Amino acid sequence: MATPYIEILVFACNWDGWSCIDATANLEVSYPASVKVVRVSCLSRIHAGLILKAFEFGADGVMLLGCEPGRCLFNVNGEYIINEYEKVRSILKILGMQQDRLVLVQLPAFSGYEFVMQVKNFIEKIEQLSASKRVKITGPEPVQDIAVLSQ
Amino acid sequence: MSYNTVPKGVAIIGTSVAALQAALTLAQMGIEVKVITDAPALGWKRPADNIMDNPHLELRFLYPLLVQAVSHPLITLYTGTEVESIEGERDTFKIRVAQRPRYIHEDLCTGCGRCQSECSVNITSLLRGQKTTHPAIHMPLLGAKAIPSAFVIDKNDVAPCNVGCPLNINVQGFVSLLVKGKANEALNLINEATPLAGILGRVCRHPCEDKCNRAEVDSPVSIRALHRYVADNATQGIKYNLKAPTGSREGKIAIVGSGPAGLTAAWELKRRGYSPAVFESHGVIGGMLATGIPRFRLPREVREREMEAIKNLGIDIRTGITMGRDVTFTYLKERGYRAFFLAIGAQRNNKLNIPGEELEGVVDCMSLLLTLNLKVDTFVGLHVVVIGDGNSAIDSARAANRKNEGTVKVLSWTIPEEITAAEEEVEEALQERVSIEYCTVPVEILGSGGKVTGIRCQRTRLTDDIMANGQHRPEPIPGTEFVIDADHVIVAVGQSPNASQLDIEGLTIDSNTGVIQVNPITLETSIPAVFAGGDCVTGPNNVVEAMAAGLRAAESIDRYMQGRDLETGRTLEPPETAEIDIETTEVFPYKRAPMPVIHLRRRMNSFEETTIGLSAEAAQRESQRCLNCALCSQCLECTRVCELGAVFHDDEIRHFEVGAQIILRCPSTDFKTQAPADSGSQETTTDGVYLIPPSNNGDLSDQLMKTMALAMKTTVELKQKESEETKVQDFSELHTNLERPNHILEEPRIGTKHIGVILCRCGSSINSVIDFKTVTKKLLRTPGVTAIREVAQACTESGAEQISNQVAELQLDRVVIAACRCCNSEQVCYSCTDRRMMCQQYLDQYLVLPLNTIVEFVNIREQCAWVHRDTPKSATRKAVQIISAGVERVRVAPPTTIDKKSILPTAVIIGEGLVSATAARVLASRGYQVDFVTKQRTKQGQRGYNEATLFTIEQLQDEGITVRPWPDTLELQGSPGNYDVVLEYGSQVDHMSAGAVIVDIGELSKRPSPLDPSSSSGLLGRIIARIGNSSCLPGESADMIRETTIGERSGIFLVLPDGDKSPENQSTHGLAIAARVSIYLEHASISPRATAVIIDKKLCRGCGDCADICPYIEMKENGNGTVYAHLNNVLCFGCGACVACCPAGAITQPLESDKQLVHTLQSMLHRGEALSRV
Repeated sequence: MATPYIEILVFACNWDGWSCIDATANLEVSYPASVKVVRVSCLSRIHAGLILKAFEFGADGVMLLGCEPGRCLFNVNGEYIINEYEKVRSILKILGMQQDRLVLVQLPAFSGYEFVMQVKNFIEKIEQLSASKRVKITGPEPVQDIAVLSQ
Repeated sequence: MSYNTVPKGVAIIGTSVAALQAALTLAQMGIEVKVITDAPALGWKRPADNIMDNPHLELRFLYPLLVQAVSHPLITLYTGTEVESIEGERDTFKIRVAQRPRYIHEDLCTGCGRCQSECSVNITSLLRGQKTTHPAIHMPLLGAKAIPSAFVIDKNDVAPCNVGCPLNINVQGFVSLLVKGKANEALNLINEATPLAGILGRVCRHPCEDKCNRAEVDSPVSIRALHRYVADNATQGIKYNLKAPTGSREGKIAIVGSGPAGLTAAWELKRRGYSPAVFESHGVIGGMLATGIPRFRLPREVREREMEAIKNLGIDIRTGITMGRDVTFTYLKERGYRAFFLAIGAQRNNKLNIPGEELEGVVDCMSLLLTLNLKVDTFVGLHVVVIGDGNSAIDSARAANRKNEGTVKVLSWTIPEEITAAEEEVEEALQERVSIEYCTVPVEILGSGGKVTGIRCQRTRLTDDIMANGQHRPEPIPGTEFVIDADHVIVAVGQSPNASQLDIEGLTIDSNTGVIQVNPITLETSIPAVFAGGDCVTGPNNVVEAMAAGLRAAESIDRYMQGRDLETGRTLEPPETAEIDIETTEVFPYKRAPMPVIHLRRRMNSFEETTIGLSAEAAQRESQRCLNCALCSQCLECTRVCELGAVFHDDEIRHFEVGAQIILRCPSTDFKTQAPADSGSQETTTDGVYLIPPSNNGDLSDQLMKTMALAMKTTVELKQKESEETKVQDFSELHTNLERPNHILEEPRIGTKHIGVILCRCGSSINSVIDFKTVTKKLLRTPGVTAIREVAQACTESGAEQISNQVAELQLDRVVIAACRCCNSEQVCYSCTDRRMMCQQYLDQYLVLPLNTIVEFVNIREQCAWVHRDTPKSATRKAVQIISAGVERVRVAPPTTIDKKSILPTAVIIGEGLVSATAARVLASRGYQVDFVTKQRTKQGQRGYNEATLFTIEQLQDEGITVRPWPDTLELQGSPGNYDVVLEYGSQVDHMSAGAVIVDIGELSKRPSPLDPSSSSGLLGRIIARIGNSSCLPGESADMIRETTIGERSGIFLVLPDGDKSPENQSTHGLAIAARVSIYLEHASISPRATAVIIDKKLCRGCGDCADICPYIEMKENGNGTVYAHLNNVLCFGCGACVACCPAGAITQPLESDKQLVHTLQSMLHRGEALSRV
């Protein structure tokens, strides 16, 4: 088992997001097949429950891939998904999972190379997180977090 | 492809973004469009330094536009097509064009690239100022996404080596195959033209190398050595293919002589279906190959291997029969032989005609070579002198040298530069210590006791007299006599045919040389049906010429037997040779591979082959020296690997005519792949020819607005002409559309809950990465999945038919198609391709409509196979997950409902100014009912004059427009296609029904505005409020992209305040709006999107979160003080934002429900998979 199978679930919006992933096929690049992509009409369709479901089903990392601010085809305000994203990050923290396992990536359409770079960096980051988690399994941090939130 | 020669519709010459927009707009208004472009395909490479303000905008608009244009049924795109001339005038234009061959069927190629990876020819081209290296078969735009995506092959004229070869071997072809080490394929390619590769690879005089362009760099490619490499290393052995089954042709043919000429003629005739008989006077077959060429040049094993292969074809060869003695010409004719080929060679050695020739020890070279070759123990003297300087002389000298212990000397009558023998042979002879005495002729052969002792010779000098072979005639210099010692003299001064021995009456023979005289094109002799070729016609010559004569004679005999004319279409003129520019082709000099030879000591006293042959590495390196002069080498590997049969090398330039009523011309183009379309001889001032608006400082929306205005103007002109001629009102067809009832499909008609999966191989580009066996095994474990099938290609008509047949046969009611198409929707996404559109079009036609199957598409090409090529196992696992997710989604997919709402053919225009007025007038002229709500002013007492519109109210009313005054309040109610525009004038309330509404924002914002704050919660108010929102794309750009991708839904068109107030710009703007409205109204009906949401009124708590996120959702009063959210589902874009934000879960999205998303997640992720198995 040379490389660990780091499963990444990407929620990609059908427009700018999907075009980045589709564009990779025409370039001479490849990315790990442990990256799975779920297409949605718009990132704003995603709510916390769906993201957490992805983690429940075993995703090591979840990437939200969508358009840059002001580029939504449907004119949906980008605040909504950013709010969901931050909400889930704090939920992950409460659950004792590392926040950085959820990322929001906003790219221009057709950015094949950038997407591959992002996903590869993400996988590397998660490898580090997984390694560090195994070491610091009983640390003082979780208790501290709960104290902060209860204020 | 249909060549629309009848002048109808619009022709667009050249392409640009605007040109494509014009094409699409025209087509959407029902006009036929033909687009002619020089480029092989259309596309865009993201430029690093884009002058346009918004680089991302244009690609997101461009690609859907491209795909729509290419797939629209009324648009025909001619790629690779140049305009040669334009004749005629408005309404009768005839455009003559020439379409370059692509060599690939556009409708079959999926762009999978298998062919490209097999192509061993690499070409350097100049692309956008940069040098790029790519294979001869390649993506049309070299790395940029192109539509249509079909590949192209670059070809140049014929390669010079091919032209040089008398046998028409595809030299560049087999050399390029060796670049990839494909010796078997190379041998097959050679054997399509000629047999005896092993022999040619050793003794051919290689005229191909003499023409090789590589010589301009360093030295020619060592083609003969490569030819030998192929023959010696093709592990599959020699496989000759028949062109027609044996015995399919009648008629007895006699071939006299089994030398190279005779054998080749027999081979070719056999391949064509005849059964020729070869008569050979010797006991062994091969002619000079067996008797005249020494074994150290042509080993016996090689010769026998080649002869065996010829015999294995089943050719009837009868040895030991001499024509003229054992059988006669008359006898054969009586036995029914209809055609004859005389290939007796030149066997009779020429005499010196000097005294002493009859002495013992003076032999002719032919007999010497014969006995030495057949290993008969024969006498070889101590001092051997060979007289002559041809190949036979050198051969005899070298042969004798191997056998004798003394010296071998060759007497040549001319200088070294003019020696007839091949340079390589002379060099090897000199290496072997054969000495050559130049400028020497024998005068008398001296002897004693009947045996030869020496030769008296004279020196010669060259005269200016040029002989038949192009060399200077030497003349002896008197007084220069000297004597050479010799105990063995070999006479090798040429051979002549012994044609008279054939005893054929009437055969014309040259009295001097003894050769048979023939027609050079047909090889027919003075006797009809008797042909002759090879050395007996040309005198002693090389193997390759003899074999070429054999092929020529076979063609003649075939024609004769079929009763066809012998000369038609045949010429001795070589075709056009490809030129190559050495400077631009960056070539690094690389030494020609030397032919390894055995060392001198080993050569002596044995007849082992002198040359060893190239090693595999040397052969590969040598083949890479080829410059690929003809670009594509026609090695046909691409044809072999393409599973879809998309490659056809005999494509040709097509000349045809395109007819049009109006021409739109591109001034230049912003597609970087194409030269400016300034072809032909038309001027911009010609009537009926319009210029497509050029890109103006990168302002795309402005350019597109002008383009749509042009398209609208053109449509009006064409439709006016049409209605003048036919006098039929346009809208009768439209109205019948409205009468179609709402159609809701119930559960599918066939089968009950059988789910099938179709796997597309996409040529073999998908299944070469994803293992279909594993996929099948894993998917069959899924409950409900009853069948898995494969197709080569889902995106063609035949593919769709196959799928449809399978589905019907297996009684499947739900199908998952795993190919390149991602969704089953009518939208066109940024990344969509022409193949995906074709996939949907054909499957709609063959599967969805007739069989009512519920189809789910999943993409395993761009999402899986093409991006995980290095890890096929994980790719297969991922493919299983992707398809399982599709299975889960299709399992719970609701039946398709088509809920059509009609769009009324009426437009209400609210505004003032030239933009609104122009739009009103244009729409009225198209026959729509137009209500124009505008401010009426007075001017100088003239009542009813509207200054801003520059028209009087009466004028507008005369054109059929209903003009209404500016109201106090304005409200929009109803639903798309059937709006109720409510106008209040004091106490009077007017209602107008509208299919489309045009609203001039500038006017509405002026106080007092009829949109008062209380009604800003209405639909119109909410939409207008959204425009100022900074999170959205600037107004018109968003509209443009949305219209091209998902289409206009609401039917509410906003005129934004424009900077340029000139009347010209205003009326252009009005035309553009009219075009968009016209297209919308032309649809005549609209259905909600498949992804539209449903709000459950009972669950709604009235919080209003969804109304905040979406302007189309409104909060309505319940009557008891509460509110609820309401949405007209035709307005819904299907983004799903409201679904996520509703705290009560009152909003659902049937095609993208939480349940479906969770199922998808479960199928794609490993723990989910495990859970589902429990």
